[in-house]
Amino acid sequence: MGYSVSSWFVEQAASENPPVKRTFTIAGSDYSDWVLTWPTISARWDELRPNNVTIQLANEDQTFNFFKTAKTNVQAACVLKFGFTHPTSGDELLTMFNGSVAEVSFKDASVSLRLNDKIQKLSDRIVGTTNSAAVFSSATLMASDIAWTACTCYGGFSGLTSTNNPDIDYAAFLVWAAVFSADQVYMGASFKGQKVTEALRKIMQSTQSAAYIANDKLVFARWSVVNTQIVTLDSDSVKTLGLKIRADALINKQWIEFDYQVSSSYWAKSVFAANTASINSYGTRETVQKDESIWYVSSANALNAAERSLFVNAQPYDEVSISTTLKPLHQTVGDTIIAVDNHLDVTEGWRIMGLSINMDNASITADIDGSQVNTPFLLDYSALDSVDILV
Amino acid sequence: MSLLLFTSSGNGVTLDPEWDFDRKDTQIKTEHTTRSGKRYVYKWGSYVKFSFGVTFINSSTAAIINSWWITNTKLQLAANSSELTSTFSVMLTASDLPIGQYQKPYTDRYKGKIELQGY
Repeated sequence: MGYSVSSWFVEQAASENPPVKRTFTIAGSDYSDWVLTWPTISARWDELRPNNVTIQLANEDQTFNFFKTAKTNVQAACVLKFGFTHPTSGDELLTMFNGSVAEVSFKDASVSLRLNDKIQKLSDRIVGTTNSAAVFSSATLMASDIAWTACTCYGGFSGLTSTNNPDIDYAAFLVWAAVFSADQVYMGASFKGQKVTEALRKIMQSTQSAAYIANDKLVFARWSVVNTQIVTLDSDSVKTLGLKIRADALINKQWIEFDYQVSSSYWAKSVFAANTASINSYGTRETVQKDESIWYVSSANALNAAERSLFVNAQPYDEVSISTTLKPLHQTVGDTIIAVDNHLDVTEGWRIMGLSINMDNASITADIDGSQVNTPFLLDYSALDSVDILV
Repeated sequence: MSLLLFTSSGNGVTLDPEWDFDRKDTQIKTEHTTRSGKRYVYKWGSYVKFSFGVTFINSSTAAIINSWWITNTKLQLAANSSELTSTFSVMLTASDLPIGQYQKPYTDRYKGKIELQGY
């Protein structure tokens, strides 16, 4: 979670006049001095889509005409970095974006580059076809197994099972997989030509998991405990703060159909979980989770998922959007933030669900809420691990 | 104070600026003011601008300066006094021809305005 930075970096991020630096490289060559407009880098926990950023460059001196003369350069790797320059030990920069050129647009004496990150690779490939579905039917198959296969066998990501994997944050993946392994959460799946990104989104939605790019790697997570990267944002660093409560997103009776029979296109069973207190307060708000692409195979697993859904959705929760300075620059999606706002009496510690870093004006917008700060498996009980919440 | 304006190949001219000589340094920065009034300044860089009038310029010097302006030539600016101790990389930035007016009452002497910006 979060970038690994020095204490000096954290101090600079919070300071009023830090020695900021941003760089842009194409195929390893630094073109920072040509940048006219720096892009905004965004990520959300539940939207696994290619991240498109556009960067404007000056071309009065025809520096970027090499894209036209040697068109293979159009696929060049581009890196955007942001950080601070230490007075003695040099730059400490974070890689905000690592991708390749998708489109070059010349207009008069400027050039605009549209860049794609590595998620594009997953979006360019599919899992199975209508005639030959990719079926995942082993009795003890976990969501993490399906996601790993989709990424590596179908998506072309590295299958290296170590922290040296260049595409997938393997340490985070192991933690994510351990959640399903510990509770023996098994699933089946059948993909018929969906893009790999779409297949992964279905897995994430079914398991209330997160998938996002951080540190140039795909991170999988299902949060349960608050991690230690906590930054406090109060009125000294917050420019604007908005709070939203969505009553129409409320769910207090969650159905989950499971044990899908692919050969007969038949849902064999269903379960539901209900929150009586919420129903009494808001009336019944039902929804059903069923997807012919991915499903739970046992009632215990399906009920587990339904209970977890209600834990988050049975009551309206606060969704806060904060516009701030560079103070949380070293934070990523999934990190926890303490937001303080006296006017709305906000003092909670919440998790970053969406993050948008504007490299042009050096501001950060963080969407945070309490839905995923500490969500336990409600079906767990103390006999398993001596505490009521299995962690 | 005399100023030396020259190219990287060493070709240059000497200019004696008028009293309207002006040096202006500009910071490129982003500023944020938070809800409590705390001010954050992120400085990305800076550049320098010079502007000054010149008079009694002979036609040869005027032609050299005007040709630099036409071709956007990258120049160096230095001074032969303690007022300017650095050498600056500059370009002529005016929209109009720098030296185009006769210096009354001469027809072989010119005057004009030199506007330079660092790069």
